[in-house]
Formats: sequence, C-alpha cells, structure tokens
Amino acid sequence: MNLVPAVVIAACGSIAGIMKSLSIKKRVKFLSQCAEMLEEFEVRIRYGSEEIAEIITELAASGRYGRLGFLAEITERDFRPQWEKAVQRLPLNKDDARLLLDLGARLGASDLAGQLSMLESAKIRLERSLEDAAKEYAEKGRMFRSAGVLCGIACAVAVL
Amino acid sequence: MIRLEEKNGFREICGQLGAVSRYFAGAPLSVERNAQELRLRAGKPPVAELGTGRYAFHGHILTREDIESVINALCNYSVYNYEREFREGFITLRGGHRAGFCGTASVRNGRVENVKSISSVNIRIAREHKGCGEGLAKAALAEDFRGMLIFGRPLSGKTTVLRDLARILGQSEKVALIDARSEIAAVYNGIPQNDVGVNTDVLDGYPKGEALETAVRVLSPSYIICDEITGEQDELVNCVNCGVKLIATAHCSSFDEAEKINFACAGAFGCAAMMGCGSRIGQVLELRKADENGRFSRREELI
Repeated sequence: MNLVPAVVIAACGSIAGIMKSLSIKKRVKFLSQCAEMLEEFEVRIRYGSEEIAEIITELAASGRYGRLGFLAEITERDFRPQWEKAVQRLPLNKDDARLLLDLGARLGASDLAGQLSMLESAKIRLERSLEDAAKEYAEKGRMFRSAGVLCGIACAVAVL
Repeated sequence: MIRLEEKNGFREICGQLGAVSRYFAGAPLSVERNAQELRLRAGKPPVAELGTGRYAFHGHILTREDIESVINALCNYSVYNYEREFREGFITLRGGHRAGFCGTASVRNGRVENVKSISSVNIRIAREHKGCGEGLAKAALAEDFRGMLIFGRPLSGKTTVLRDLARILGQSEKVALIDARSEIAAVYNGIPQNDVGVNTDVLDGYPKGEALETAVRVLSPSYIICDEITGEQDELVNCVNCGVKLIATAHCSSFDEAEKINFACAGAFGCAAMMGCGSRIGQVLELRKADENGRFSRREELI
C-alpha cells in the first residue's frame, strides 16, 4: 500500500533536484545569449550605424534570442526606461541584473569609440559571469540532480 | 508678406525632445505660432524667442540631465551616429529644424574634435511660408536674370525664402537644390519633407563645393539654389560660366558687403535682395540690380 506514495516521493525528490540543476543551466544559456547580443550590438553599431531602438526591435523579432524575451518589451525609441523596467522584472541575480542595467544606461549615449569600448568592457564582465555560471553548473548541477534523487529515495524508504 | 504657415514647427520640435517636451505642454498658442527659436540652457528656464520678444517657461529650471536627455533624444538615442554633427556644432532635425549646441570643446590640431558637457541647446524652427518668395521668383524668371544673392542678418528668413523660391521655380524649371545641412528640403529617408517643387533635385548633405560641381556635371539644371555660401567662389564662378543661373544666400547686412561677395565671385550675381529682420522677418526690404562693375546700384521694384 505504501509503494505508490513512496514512488511519488522519490520522483518528487528527483524532479526537485533536476529543476534546481536546470535553473543553473538556464543562467548559463541566458548569459551566453547576452554575449551573442553584445556581439550583434557591436557589429551593427560599428558597421551598420543602426539606431539602438532599431537593433533591439530586430533582435527581438529575429527569434534567435528566445531567452532574452525582455527585448520584445522594448517598443519605444527612448528605450532606456523600458529596458530598465524589463530587466528589473527578470529573475536575475544582483550581478547579472546590474550588468544589464548598466548596459541599458550606456547604450547609445556616447560616440562610436565610447560605444565600442563600453561594449568591450560589458563583454569582459559578461564572460566572467558566464564562466562562473558554467563552473557553478559543472560543480553543482550534477550534485543537485544526485541529491534530489537520493533524498527522494531516502524519503521513499522511510515511508516504506 | 508672409502667409499663414502650414505646419506647426513648434509642436514638431517638441515631439523630438523626449521627456523635456513636457515643459512646453502649456505653451500659449501665440508662442507656438511665433516662436523662431527654442533656447535650452542648464540652470535656466526654457525660452522661446519670438522675434519681437521672448517667452520664458518659468517654473521649469533645466538641469544638466535635462540637457543631456534632450541631446540623446535629438540623436534618436544613438549619439554615435552624430559625430560629424557634434564636430560641426549642430544637428538637423526631422522637419528641417536645426539644433545648435555648445559646451566644452575638445580641440585637436586647432580644430574642434568633439563637444562635451553640453550646456546650451538652441533650436531654430524651420518655417515653410508658401508664397513668401513669389516676388523674387518673378525676378528670377525674367529674361535678363543672371543670378541672385539674398542676404540678411541671422534669423531674417533667408532660408525660408530660398525654400519657397525652390518650390516656385521647381514647378516649371529644372532646379538643383544644394541642401548641405538638410534644412531647406528636410530630406528624411530620401524623401523631402518640405515642398521644394516637382522639378527640383536635392543634393542633401553634400559639401557645397562638391555639390555645385556635381549639380552642373550630372543634373544640367537651369537654376542652382544654395544656402549660406562662404568660400565656394571658384565653384560658383564655374557654375555661372556653364550658363547656370545661381541663387544663393549669405550672411551680411548691407549692399556694400553683398558687393564684396559679388566681386569675390567674379560678378556671378546680377541682383541682390536684402531681407528684413525683427518685425520684418521674411520680407524683402529691397532688390537691387548690379551694374556692369558688379555694384548693386540700381534699385528694382518688386513685382
């Protein structure tokens, strides 16, 4: 009779572990799409002389940045207030949110050399965050999955 | 006389000022209609210059952030696309309006390379007064016409008259309009925002000297219209030698000064028109024809 609840508990434990592991992986994917977005900004500003609002609209419409859904929320030519609000709504840690908020505040606000060096420094900060996230995933991802499964099994055994 | 304008330049500009436009929301209609310039200075209230006086928007003191926000908005939030304009000290806006600014100059090799810490913005409102150039257009269409210099002080309406001349002459003649600062035709995305005539080709953003050469070489115009000539004497003379009729404006305040320009251009201008200012803005005060020595000595009646 206790078998069914035991299986459910074991499954729940495993799912919780996997979910936690996926949340770390999600950050890695989010940050790597942010890095691609910075590359795109750099190329379009350097070679296309496109306006920031245009670039954001095209990136949002391209479908290549599925994890950066906040871009689609930016519709005004004066993109900064919308960028800030959209980033603040994202479930990001403090450092990642700060990075994106700084980026939004500085995009389009200086001459070409200023923009390129600003993007370069944002890329360096982002790469560091990405390395940390990848390291965290490598270290803790498997641990969370295993811990979830083991905890689930332990609880299931206790129930049995 | 000037006819009632057809577009509200004041509102058009406010729409391009971003968050600061809220300061102008309660502007009286007389200010909207008569404003020639909007002056924005850090630490001061915004002021509209009306030609006959000025109107201050008391209750709003502009901060450095406001000025920065205006500059950002005028640059479509992409300042990096406006480096040349920053060096030159002005940005041409949608509708042909012009925002000039000043701040701290960054100088290299004796030339202004950039302007930082902008403290003042002066926005000149472009006007499209259809009909204000009719008198001069009749003179320009006369058989013996050989070039016209329109001169006056800043804010006397020279560019406005020039725009209307392009519109009128462009209805029947081939006109090349040299619009180095995008103020006359206000070309936006390749399309002139102002009516400059159906037969008018616009050389938008070209340096004037190159534009004069290009116009003669590729457009075979009957008339070349050019705003604010400064040091393009050789090219102007070349145009006249090619049989093109030249209409240009210049900053000066008397026929004596206009004659000096005419001498420098080897007598390229057969007549000169002096514009009024203040309450007589946009009006041609006097039209004079040049004698055989290039002196503007013979007074002409405007038709």
